[in-house]
Amino acid sequence: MNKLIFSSCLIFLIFNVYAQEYKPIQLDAIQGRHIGPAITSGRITDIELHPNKSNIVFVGTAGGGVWKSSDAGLNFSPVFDEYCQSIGTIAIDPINPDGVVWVGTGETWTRNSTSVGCGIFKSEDGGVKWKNMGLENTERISSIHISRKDPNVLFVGVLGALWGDSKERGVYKTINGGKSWKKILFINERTGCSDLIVDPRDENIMYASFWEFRRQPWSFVSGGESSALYKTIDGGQHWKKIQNGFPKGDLGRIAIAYAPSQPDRLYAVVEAKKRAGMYRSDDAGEHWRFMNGDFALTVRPFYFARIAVDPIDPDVVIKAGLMGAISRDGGATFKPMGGFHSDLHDIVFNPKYPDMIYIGTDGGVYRSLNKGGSYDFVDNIPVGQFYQISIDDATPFNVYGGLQDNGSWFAPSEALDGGVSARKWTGVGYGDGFRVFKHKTRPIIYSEMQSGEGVWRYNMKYGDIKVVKPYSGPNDPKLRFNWNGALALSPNHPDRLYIGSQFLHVSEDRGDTWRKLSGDLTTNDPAKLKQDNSGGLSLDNSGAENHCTIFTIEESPLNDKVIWVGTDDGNLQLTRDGGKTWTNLVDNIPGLPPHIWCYQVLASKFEEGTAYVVYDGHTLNDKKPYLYKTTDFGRHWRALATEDIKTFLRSVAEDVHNPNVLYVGSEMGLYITLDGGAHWQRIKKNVPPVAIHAIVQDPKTGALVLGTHGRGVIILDDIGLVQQLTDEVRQEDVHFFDTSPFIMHEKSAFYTGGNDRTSFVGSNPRHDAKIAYYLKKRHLFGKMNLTVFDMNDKEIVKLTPLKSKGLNIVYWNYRMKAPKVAKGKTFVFNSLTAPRVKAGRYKLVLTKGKKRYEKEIEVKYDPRSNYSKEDRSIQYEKTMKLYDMQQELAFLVYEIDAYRDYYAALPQEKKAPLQVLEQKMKELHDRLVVTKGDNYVGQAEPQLREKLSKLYGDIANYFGRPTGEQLNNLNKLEATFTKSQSIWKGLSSKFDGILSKNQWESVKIRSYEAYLKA
Amino acid sequence: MKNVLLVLLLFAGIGAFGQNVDEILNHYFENTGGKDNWKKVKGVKSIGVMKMQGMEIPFEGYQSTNGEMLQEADFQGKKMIFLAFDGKVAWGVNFMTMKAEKKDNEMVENLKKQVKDVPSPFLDYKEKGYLVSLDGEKEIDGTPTYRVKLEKDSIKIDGKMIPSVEYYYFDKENYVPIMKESSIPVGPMAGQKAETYFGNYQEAGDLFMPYEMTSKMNGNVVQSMVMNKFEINPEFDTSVLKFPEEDAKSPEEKPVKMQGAGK
Repeated sequence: MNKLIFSSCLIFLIFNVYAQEYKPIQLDAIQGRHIGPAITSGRITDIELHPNKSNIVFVGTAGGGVWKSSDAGLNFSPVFDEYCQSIGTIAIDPINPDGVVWVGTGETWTRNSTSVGCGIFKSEDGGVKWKNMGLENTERISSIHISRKDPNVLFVGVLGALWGDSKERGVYKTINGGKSWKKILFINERTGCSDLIVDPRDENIMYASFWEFRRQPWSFVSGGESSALYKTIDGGQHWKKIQNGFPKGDLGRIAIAYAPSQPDRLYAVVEAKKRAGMYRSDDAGEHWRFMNGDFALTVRPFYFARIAVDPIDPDVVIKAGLMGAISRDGGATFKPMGGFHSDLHDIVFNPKYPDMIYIGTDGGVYRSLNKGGSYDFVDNIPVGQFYQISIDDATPFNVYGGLQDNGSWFAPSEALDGGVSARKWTGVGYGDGFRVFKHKTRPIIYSEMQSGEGVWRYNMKYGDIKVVKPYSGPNDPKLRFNWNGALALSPNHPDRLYIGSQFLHVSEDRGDTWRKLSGDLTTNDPAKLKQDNSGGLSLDNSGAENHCTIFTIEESPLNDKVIWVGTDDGNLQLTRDGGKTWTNLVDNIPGLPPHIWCYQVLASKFEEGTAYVVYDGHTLNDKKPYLYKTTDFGRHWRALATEDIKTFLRSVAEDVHNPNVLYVGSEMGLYITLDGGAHWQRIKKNVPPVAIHAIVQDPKTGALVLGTHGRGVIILDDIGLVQQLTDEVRQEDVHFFDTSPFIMHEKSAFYTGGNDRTSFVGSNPRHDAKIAYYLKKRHLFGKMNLTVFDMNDKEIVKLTPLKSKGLNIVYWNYRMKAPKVAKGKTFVFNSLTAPRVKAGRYKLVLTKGKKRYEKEIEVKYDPRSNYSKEDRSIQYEKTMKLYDMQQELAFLVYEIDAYRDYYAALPQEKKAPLQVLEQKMKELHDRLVVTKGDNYVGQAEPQLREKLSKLYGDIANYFGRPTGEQLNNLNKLEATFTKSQSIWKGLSSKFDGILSKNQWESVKIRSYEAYLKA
Repeated sequence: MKNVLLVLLLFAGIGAFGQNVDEILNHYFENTGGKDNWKKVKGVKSIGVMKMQGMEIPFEGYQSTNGEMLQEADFQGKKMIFLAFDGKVAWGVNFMTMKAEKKDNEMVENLKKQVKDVPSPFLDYKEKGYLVSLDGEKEIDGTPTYRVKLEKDSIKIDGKMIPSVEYYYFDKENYVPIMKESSIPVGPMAGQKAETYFGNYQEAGDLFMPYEMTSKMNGNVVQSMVMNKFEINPEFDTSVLKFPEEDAKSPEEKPVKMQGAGK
């Protein structure tokens, strides 16, 4: 008895715990739709080739995960979509290269916009499945070496954190395949392993370059006294510096490589104040001599530090760089490379056929078959990094945005001729692109280049491109624009444009004249105005470290006098009088660390005093999410980010209809809350954990549009459905969602693809009826059916219901079943078309075991079409007429076959009285369906079935009135059919008469209805 | 009674932590008819409808432990054999000419290896030389599952031997697979995951079989097979599997007889 009570208590306890815990809802029916762009790719960080099979290529990207090709780079597929998307390095196991692949995450080309990693991963099946093998907090993994003798032994170089100190840096070793790791070389918390290579003859000999570096939001420092090149000859037990011949003083980033054909030949590119450039050793690092200090070798060491040596010729060496450079004399002289996108990060030679090389750039992967003589671009790795996006109010809407080093673009969110192909994207800016907007009423697009270097106004109608940026006035200090300059439109005044430097500037005439709307809204901290000196040993004054700038500007859609401004140094400023007075609200925000980046402020569409703000602390080494909401113009703020959100945030959007539904873009994926921020969950299906820098929603369709920093634009067309997932709904076994009337899409186009068939094509949204329902539990046993009926309970079509726990969406293309057609020698492909239903109400019936659930839906014709009611009516009527005629013809042919089979089965002596009739039946049959030929060039002359089918296809596949010719043709075929039926009636009754007279068994014929059902 | 329920509940909870793959498979066979009944299966005929791109195509399939295989569809009233395999020669009807053509030798070699998968690859998998392991746990569309890795004999694709690996996701509650996952070995989609979802488990003779199989790529439904009927150990006329010789009539003119066929 006591035990029973105890057990009951236990169960009650368990129950209670569960009752309090928020359970995420299964939302995989909400899927991301990727539209590219494919016209450009994105930053590639590392390329790895299979040692024996030329067709296997792995590509790591800065923000778009890992991609694999099995056909030597013709086609790539993403293979790492469940994990963080910033990749440092990839290694293939030399013992089991078909199976084991390792990925070290976290890009090591440490630009301002780089993301972070999430550890080291292993696949044992060539990249299909991955498992985290630790090192989760290392942030950036530069090198992986897998032992050539024992696949459980690995050496890993960890560069580590970019924005702060870290104990995780160094060289690690595992002897158990990653179950545990031992740090075998650590220098200090500022200095990480930027490269690790292992002698191919003796794994005890390793070279590790260490780099002291630090990025702050306002400055980057490369180099210091701790940077060095180390060597071990005892497998990492002891290390010594090998710099005999290197420049004196502080060093920066050191790239290192050996010549595979002659491993004592080492190349190093050394960053230093003086005599920076390429060094060579021919005695395994004991002595070095300076070879070359060309610009191509020394440019931006933090961004370009890869050396590749020809696997056969030790004198052929390539250094990554702005365009890269190749030496054919052992590093003495270099020839600039070119013919591809600038900013070359990695180069790999095919180990057996070194004329074949792959390179990875800021703009994607290129292949060369003549060792860099010429290249072709891989056009199916859409890993563009959007900094910002926007949409317009066109139907379908267009998406605008700017990409890291790949300019500014716009494209339609769908395209009739098969999808959003590369050619659908229109370029509207150079350089790094950021914020791009379409003018609300005029054919104008605004775009910008990094750090306010260019603000363009592009009038597409006149082909007029004008620079419209503000300049500093006579009494102004130098204007400071962020790398990702804060350009914004007014939601209330179409011609109004804002841009933020340290001041807020406004133009009422589309950028022709500007006035300052504020004083300096930043902290204007002199300690953070160091762009001119940024870079460390190598000056790097690119504008990327411009700080104390305005980063986000938002005019309230409800009041043009209310403007919110956030700055990269932490301020959040508000004016409620159109810029006359400003209030810094940052001190009102509880729990906010000082001076972290105000990444986005969003004014609510619902309440004037309501706003949301996203802060990002990762550039001060704080990766927590910060999201706040105010409802009183910033006097009070409530934190909305919970532990459900795993990393730092970049963006927020408020649902267009429901203020309790919010979306946030984190550095690793999209989160949604349905309860105003109390709980969050990730939307995962086809939305990898990629950095999401911007989120906008189309108010017309509810589609959510994500500007990702690594996977281009991702659109979630069906996100609106989640709002119906209330607690009440979640208690039901089955719940049909309410849906707006479905519009039957009536647009067609010819497919325009051609020789770009390997190119990525963004998918279109589905225009089918989306039948959405919730299942409390997965349906696994017994029947479950979903059928569409008309309102007279006539069955239209049986669909295949999905059975997942949570939200399910089943698509219906508004069509019934295709007609049953007469059996002939060949096929009539037009008859595969099923007629489309008429607009109106339809009933869905879902049966699950013995239970039945019903829901009505409405379908409408496309209001954008120009077909009249009468046109549609006649189209439907004639389609159904041909549909019925085909089925009746099918029955007629079935009858003839049955009679002729009957005849064929008769004994010879009984055949005589029926012989002539049977012959006539055959003649009739042969006029009704083809009885010879094939389905290609051997096809026979079309008979009635084929003619009906063709006409049916022509009429049924159109949406409006058939042509007069088609109607005439229909009359003609109908007359032929009626005549054939009459002939058949005569023949069959004579046949039946003979059988009856002789008292022979009659021919067995199913009824028309039974025949159709069979 | 309540006591029993309680014990069962607790047992189920404990059991879930310490699963090994053979326990999962034993539960699976037990819950779907028992191993003895599975072992009695010598041939399976499936009759149903294939749904793809808005079309519904009636089909019949047959597979036996002897390696015989037939896949036949009814297309506009005509029976079309897509695949016939007598254990040695595989062929199918060319859609253009409607004449039988032999399948390529790689496919034949790979088909021969599929014999071992009838009626289930997991049945006596050790004797078949298959490797089966528990590869973790995962939620599939919100349903907790065990991920079971199945490594079969390598197959040959485009002249190269490649490993044949499939992952089955067994529902934790009922121990039946709800999804199978494999990677596409060849073509522009190579390396992409192909998923087959199993549903509508119902009785098929003494066994329980999934009456619905839905294939998905990137989350989108590619095709569904909806069964009307499974027949276990049906009579089967193997002469239909013989490749029609050149001077023979094209196969569609030869009546194809399958005992108990749906028509």
